[in-house]
Amino acid sequence: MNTSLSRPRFFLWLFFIILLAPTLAMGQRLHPRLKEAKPGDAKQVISRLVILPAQVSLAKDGMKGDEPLEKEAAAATPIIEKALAKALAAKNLIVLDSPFIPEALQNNEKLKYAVADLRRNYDELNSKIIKNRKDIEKGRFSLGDQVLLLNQDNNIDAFVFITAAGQRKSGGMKALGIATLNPMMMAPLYVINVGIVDARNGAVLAYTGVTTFSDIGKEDDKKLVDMFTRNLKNLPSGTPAEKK
Amino acid sequence: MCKHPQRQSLRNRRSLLVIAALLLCLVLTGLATAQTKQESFRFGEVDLEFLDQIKQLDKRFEEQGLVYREAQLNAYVDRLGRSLLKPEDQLENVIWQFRVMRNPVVNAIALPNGSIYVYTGLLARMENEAQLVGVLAHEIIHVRNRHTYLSYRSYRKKMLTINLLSIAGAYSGTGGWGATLVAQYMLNISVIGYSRELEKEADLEGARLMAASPYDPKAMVAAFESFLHKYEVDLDGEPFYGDHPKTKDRIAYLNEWISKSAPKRETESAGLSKADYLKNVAEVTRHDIQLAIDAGLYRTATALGKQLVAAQPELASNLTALADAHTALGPRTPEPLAEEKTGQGKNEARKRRSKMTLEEEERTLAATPAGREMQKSNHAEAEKLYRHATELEADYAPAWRGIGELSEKQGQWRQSIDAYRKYLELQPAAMDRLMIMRRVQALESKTAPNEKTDK
Repeated sequence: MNTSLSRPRFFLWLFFIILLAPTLAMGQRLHPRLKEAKPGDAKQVISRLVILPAQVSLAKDGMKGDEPLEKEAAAATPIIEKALAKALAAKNLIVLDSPFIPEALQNNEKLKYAVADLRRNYDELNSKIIKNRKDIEKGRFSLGDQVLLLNQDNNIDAFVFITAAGQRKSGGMKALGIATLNPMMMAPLYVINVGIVDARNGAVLAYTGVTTFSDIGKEDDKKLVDMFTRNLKNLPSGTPAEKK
Repeated sequence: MCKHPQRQSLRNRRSLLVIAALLLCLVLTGLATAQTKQESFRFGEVDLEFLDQIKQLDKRFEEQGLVYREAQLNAYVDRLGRSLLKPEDQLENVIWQFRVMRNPVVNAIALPNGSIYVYTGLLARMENEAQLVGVLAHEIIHVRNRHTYLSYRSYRKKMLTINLLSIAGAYSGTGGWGATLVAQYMLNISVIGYSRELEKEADLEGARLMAASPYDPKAMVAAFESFLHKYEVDLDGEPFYGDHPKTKDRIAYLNEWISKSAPKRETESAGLSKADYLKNVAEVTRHDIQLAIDAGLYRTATALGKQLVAAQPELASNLTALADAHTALGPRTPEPLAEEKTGQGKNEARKRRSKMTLEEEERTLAATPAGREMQKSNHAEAEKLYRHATELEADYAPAWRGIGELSEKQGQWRQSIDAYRKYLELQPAAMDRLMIMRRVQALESKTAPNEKTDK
């Protein structure tokens, strides 16, 4: 690990961080169907969404290497989900209560497996999407009609997949960052990807990703809501009437 | 020539100091590791924090639907695992649990809290109970000897050294920087090396544990030998210096121990019946076939399906599982071709896997003449198997669903609609009811009102 930075490099880093902080948007990609949709369209492409359990992995980057933060990841999961729900609701989209929370799945192994399998397939697809985000705009990516396994009443328009990975810095690592003038060693780093998938045919309708240097972990994280709101700017809004 | 010989000499001296310091660190880290192994294990604050995180991981596996639940199989795996435990294995902060993970990869993991997970891919791959016991014995040793904690402690010490060296390197000129890099590399190697040592210990002590049980430790060797046979083209291969010893080396040192030191067995070894074992794991193997298909491991799925059918050829569920695998295999051969195993073949496969989705990959392969031929042959085989399954058990719904999917792929829409309808009739409350109904609707719109025949 190269930890040393010369002073000019340090200031260059600092400049970039100030410029880009608190978030780096990775762009918003929309499926042609969403791109063509206009606000207030009589028939919205998506209106009712369900956020699937977010996949959050966190680690602490310390002087003694990486430490797992499973408990913290579990605590951050609902915070991220709620923040995204708020950002979606602000666009007049209806975020339904998720029927796939662990408590609901406890006694339904088949449904639990179906959620797990869909998630696994999405993760596999996500690895391709990350390399070719632009192709979302060509309507290239789809999970297929297996999404209907989770949409048995046919009342969901889209599923929202969240994949988050983060690294918190220990006190020691922050001190090392100061000693070696390396700001990357001082700030936490979170990368969050959001994919919105058609709940009837599996097409990936929207995809966005953000990188943030501010810590996630506070209940009612306004910064996080703002970040998602900015990153979903191009997503067509629902009509207020549909809220009723 | 240097303009400032004094400054240069100071830098050289600094570099030497750094080198000396890092050598000392290396020696101390090595000693610390050796000492920890010999002492009896005492929990420190860091270990307890780590344990807390591990418990959460265990909970996450459960919540995320990664744990396979089948009462009979769970009881079977649990019984085998517990048969290897001794009274002294009631260890502090260990609750023994033997569970099955829904994952088609051939693997097993041991968490330090006593949760041992055997992957469905491994269960489906083993040839008999004794081989499975061999894997469980290995994992039990990891928990019993606190390998995860020891490994974590060693990793932390080495990472601290690496980071301290980074600071030293940052202030010690080019020579010191170079030395730091070498030392960091050596420390990284030593992290891997320590992990390999622990794996070897788990292999050998696991074999000893088996030798003291009704199972023959040779089964552990057989399990490793089975790992060498790959159904898929091995795109990654074994790393040159990975955190596990190479499989061939593991087989060699286990064989050496068995021939030189294993106690002579006076009773017949247990768990060697392949047929009994396959019956015990038939349901999980069928589940694993679906997981393998989902993961694009089509050849694995086909090989496992064949194994099931060979063991119980008159079971509609087995025939259907193999037929599903053949449908998914599509334009691929059931076994890798020689050219796929060459460097060029592997590179092409890697490129395809990295750039294309599974569906795109299938379309690309099916567009070649050889792929088209293979697809035809695999589909014909699948159809034969599905039909046989419905002959054996006319009301076996998954076979009808399979016929529906296969016919849809073949463009035989009317046949597909009929098979899907039969499936829905047999399983009106199926979880995929809506999915199948929508497929039928889509197919009906394709077979326009004036055109009722197959396309």
